Amino acid sequence: MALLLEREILPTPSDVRRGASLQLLGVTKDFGGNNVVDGIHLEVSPGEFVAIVGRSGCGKSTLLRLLSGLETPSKGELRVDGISLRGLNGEARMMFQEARLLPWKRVRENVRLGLLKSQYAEADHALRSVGLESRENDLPTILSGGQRQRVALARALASRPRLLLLDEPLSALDALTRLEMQGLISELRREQGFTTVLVTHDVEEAVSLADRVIVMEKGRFVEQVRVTLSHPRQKSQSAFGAISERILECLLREIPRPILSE
Amino acid sequence: MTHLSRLQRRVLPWVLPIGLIVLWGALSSMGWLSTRILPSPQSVARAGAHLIETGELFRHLAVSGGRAIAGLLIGGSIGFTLGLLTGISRLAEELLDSTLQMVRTVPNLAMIPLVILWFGIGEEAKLFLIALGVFFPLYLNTYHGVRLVDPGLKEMGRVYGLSGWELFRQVQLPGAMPSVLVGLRFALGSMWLTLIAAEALAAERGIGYMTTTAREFMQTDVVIVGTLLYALLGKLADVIARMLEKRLLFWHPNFQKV
Repeated sequence: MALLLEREILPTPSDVRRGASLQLLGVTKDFGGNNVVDGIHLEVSPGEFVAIVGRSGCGKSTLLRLLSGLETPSKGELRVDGISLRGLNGEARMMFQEARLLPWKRVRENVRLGLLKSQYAEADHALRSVGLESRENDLPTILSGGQRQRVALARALASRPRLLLLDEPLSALDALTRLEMQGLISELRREQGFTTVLVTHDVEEAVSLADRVIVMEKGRFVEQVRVTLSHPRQKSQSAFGAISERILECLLREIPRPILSE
Repeated sequence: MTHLSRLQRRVLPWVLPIGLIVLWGALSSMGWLSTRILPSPQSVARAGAHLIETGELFRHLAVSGGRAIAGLLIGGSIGFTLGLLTGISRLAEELLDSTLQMVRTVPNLAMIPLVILWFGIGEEAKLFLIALGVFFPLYLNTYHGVRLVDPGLKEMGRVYGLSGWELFRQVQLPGAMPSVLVGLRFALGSMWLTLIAAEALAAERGIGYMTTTAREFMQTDVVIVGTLLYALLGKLADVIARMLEKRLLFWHPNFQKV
């Protein structure tokens, strides 16, 4: 990953800013009498990387939307840095399954979306950090899927967010590009120290990136595994395999076990 | 499918119109066409040249063009604005859309008797008809355009700190543009149609007046000049619409150079 080594380092005060902390106190989201997220308790410390895995429809995406403030809890409370969240979460930026770039804006303008003029330098820096500064004048339509997600990552990081929410952003990419993106996210996170919540159905992706993997089923957490392996993690490591297997087993179990506490 | 060369693509569209004119000239010079039905191309050209020399042609052209543009601006801007409003605001949609959709089903030319009663047969009546004719295509397509903007992009915009005017300017309006421009094309078609009908109704100037008067004096050649002028104006409006599309939709895959 030559592009990571060549990255120029800007001396910014935000480098010392730490990630946001999260507290979920019995958060429930109900859609038409159905608890899609069902009384979730969760604490995420600043700078931590939490992955939530589960089958489709288990409520993991809704949980992420709650964290972004796009949805409001029907019950319970959600705190960011100890303060109850109201409306959109200003500390958070989100990456979606699709890149969601504005097709009528060039790459550079997409990365600068929603920023003040004084932040444009940061945006350009973010574009360099994903290695796409040479494409800044291109329209998104001519980029490959992987390049689009890299632009989306740059856009997410341009405002130096303290919380990064990832809603399966790599699931549509080919295997090689996905590995590259995982490396990039992991690298940038270590450099900038933001808190990350990743939602995915890819167990190996969760294990290779996260400090903690949580298994979600029918709106509840059913299993939680800490991953203490050092980065960069290799799939060939035996511990990696053991953890992945344990999580996968839990996902494949037909009857959910009672909720585990922390 | 055979591949056509660049030259062929340039030349082929002209074959049919030029061929027709040649055939027309040949039939006329052989005396197979009565001059009252269809005068020869030469006499039409002469009539056109005469109208240009006397300046009459440009006078009528300016009047008709002015009417068309004024009607387009009035009806178009109202349609565009209301379309944006109903597209963005649920309240405005509930309030306005069903009524507008009902009125839309009345062909605008069916309003002629009522318009004459309201405005007489002067300029106001013509402007009203043209404005009405361009209003609906622009209203409908703007409304649908705003509605059909990818909700994922709007959601993304909100997460990235856009709201209100900024969200509208950067996401909703450009997203609706392809549809708005389709509406503009329909509006231009409707504009000419209504203009012709309104000018045939009663006018003291304009291409419609020119042709109606010529008809009374059996000047078929002048009538043909007038008809060709309408065709030319229609084509010109189409070219302008295409240029706008190219400029405003430069990002759209359909308009990118292959």
